[in-house]
Amino acid sequence: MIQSRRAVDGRRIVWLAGYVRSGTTWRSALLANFLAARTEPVAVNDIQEVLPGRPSSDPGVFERRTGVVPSDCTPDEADTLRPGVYRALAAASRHSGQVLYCPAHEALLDTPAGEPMFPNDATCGALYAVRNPLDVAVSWAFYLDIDFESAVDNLCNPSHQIGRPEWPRLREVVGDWSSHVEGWQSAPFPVLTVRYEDMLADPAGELGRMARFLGLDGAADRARLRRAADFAGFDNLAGDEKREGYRNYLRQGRRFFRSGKAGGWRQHLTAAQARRLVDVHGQVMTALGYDLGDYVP
Amino acid sequence: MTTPTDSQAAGKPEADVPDAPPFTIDADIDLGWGAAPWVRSYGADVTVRRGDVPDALASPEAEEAAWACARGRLLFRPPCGLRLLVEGGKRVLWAARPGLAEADVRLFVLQTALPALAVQRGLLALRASAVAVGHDVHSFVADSCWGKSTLAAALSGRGCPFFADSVLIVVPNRENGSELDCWRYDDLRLGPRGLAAAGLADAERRPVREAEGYEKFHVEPPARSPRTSGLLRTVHRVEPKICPPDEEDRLEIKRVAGSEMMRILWTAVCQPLVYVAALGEEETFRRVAALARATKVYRFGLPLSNDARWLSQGVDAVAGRLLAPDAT
Repeated sequence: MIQSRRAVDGRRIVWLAGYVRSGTTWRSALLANFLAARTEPVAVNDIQEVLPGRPSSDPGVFERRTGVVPSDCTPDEADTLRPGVYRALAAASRHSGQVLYCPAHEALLDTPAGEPMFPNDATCGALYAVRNPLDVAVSWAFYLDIDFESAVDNLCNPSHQIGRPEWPRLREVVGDWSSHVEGWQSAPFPVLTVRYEDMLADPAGELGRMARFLGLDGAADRARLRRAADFAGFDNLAGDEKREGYRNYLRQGRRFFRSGKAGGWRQHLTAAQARRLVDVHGQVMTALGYDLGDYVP
Repeated sequence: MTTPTDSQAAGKPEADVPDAPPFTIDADIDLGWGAAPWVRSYGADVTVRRGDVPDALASPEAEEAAWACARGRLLFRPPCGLRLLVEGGKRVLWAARPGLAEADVRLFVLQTALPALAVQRGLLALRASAVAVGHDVHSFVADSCWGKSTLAAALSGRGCPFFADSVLIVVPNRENGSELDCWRYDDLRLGPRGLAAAGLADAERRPVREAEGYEKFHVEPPARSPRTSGLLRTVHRVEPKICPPDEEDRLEIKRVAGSEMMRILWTAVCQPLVYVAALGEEETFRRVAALARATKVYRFGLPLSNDARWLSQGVDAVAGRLLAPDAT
C-alpha cells in the first residue's frame, strides 16, 4: 500500500498520468472540484485554472523555461531539455508553496540523452489512471475519428505517438498500452493507480483515496468528497461541453465527453479486435484486476 | 524604454542615421537576408563572435532549464550543442560542438540570443509575426506553434505584405514617444503544414537547419514589405475559438482592454522570464504597459475543425480589417 505524500523540497509535481482516453480529464475534474470546494461545479474549461500546473507537453511552458522556441528544436532535442523544464517548474513553485498538478500522457521513458523524462527530484508522486484497453480503443477511435482497427493498432504499437496536427504539443510518445502501464507502475516515485471502472462505481470513494494519497486537507470529509464527485459527474461535464464547447477538443459535431460508461467495446469491436487486445495485453489486464473471461465476445 | 544606438548616444545627429535600427551588429556568421539592415562591418553597437563560453555561470541570480542569469550576463544552452553568452547588451559569444552547422548557430543567435540582448539594451522584444500596410505594422502573437508565421504568410497573399517572423524589436517612436516603432530581422520560416495552409506548398524553399528531424524551411512570402521598420499598430492574439459542438463554428475578432489586454501582451513578450530576471517584474510590467498604451489588442479566435477552411476565412476577415481606411 502506497502511503500518502506531500511535496517536500524540490519535489513539487504530481503527474496526472494515464494512457489516452482513460478518464484522465474526469480525474482532473474530480480533483479540481475537491480542491476548489465551491458551492457550484468548476466549469470544464476552468479545470486547468483551478489545478495549478500545466500539461507536460505544453510548448509554452517549454519556451518560457528554456528561452528556446520548441519549433526551433528537433523533437529529440526538445525532449532532452524537458527534465530541466520540469525541475525549473518545481523550483519556481517552491516560492508559492504550491504543488503542481501536471497532466501527462507520455510513457515513462528516458530522454534521448538517457535521463528520465519525468525527474524523480522534481516529482512528489503520480496519480495513474487506467482503463480497460478495449474501451480505450473504442474511445480513442471516436476521439480521433479513426476506425476501430487503427485504434487497436495504436494500443499495440510500442512507438505510438499521440497528437493532432491542429493542436501543437511537444512530442508525446505513449507507446503500447501494457508498456505504458508497467512503466508508470515501476516509477521511482510514489504512484497511485486508479481504475476508471472503480471511479465509475464509487467516484467519491476513489477521490478520497486520491486525496489521501496526496495528503490533501479534507481527505476524510465525506460530504466534501461527495459534493466534488457530484459536481464532476458526467452529466455536468458533458453539459458544459454542449453549452460552451471544451477547449481541449474543438471539433464541430463531435463530443469529448461521449458516453462515460464501461463496456462500450462490446458494441463496437469485432471479436478479432477484442481477442487481439486481450492476447497482447491480457497479462497486464489480469494484474490490474480485469477478468479476461469478461473479454471474450 | 531607452533606445538610442551607441552612435546616437555619442551625439551623432539622428538625421544622419535614417531608418537606423535600434542597434547595429557586427557578426562573424551570416545572419541572413532579413538582418542585413542591422549589420555593419565596423563600428557596430553589438558584436557576435565565436569565443570561450562557460558551461555554467557562477552564483546565478536566476537559473532555468536552458539559461541562467548572473551579473548582467545571460548564458543560453540550446539543446543542439551550442552555448550563447550574452553580455551587457553589447556582445554575443557563441561556442558550438564540432560539426554544428552555421545555420544552427544563426537560428539560435537570432531567436534566442538577440532578443535577450535587446532586453539588456532596454528594448522590448515580442514573439510575433507581422504584416505591414504602408508604415503600419500589425502583429500576431500566439502560444508557441499556433500558426503565427502561417497567418502572416497567408495574409501576404491577400494584400497585406509580410513584415516579420517570430521576433519584433519594439522601440518608442522618435517623434512621438507615445507610439512604438518596431523592427524586424528574421525571414519567414514555415513547416510543411504551414506551407500547405499558406498556399506555399510548391514554393521554392531551403531548410532552416540541417538537423535530422527538423522540418522548417525559409520560403519567400507572396508579398514582402520593403520596410525594415514601421509603427506598431495592432497586436492580434491568435487562439483556438471554443465553440459548442452542436453549433456552427465561427470566427471571432474582438478588441480587448484592461487586464485581459495586459495578459495577452504579457504572453507576447519574448522570453518573459529573462526580462524579469534581468529587469525585475516592475520594469517589465512598465514596458508591457507602454505597449498597451500604444497599440490596439484583439483576440482572433479560429475554429480548429477543418482548419484550412477557417484559416482562409480568417485571413480574409483580418485582411479586410487591416486594409480598411480606418484600420488603425
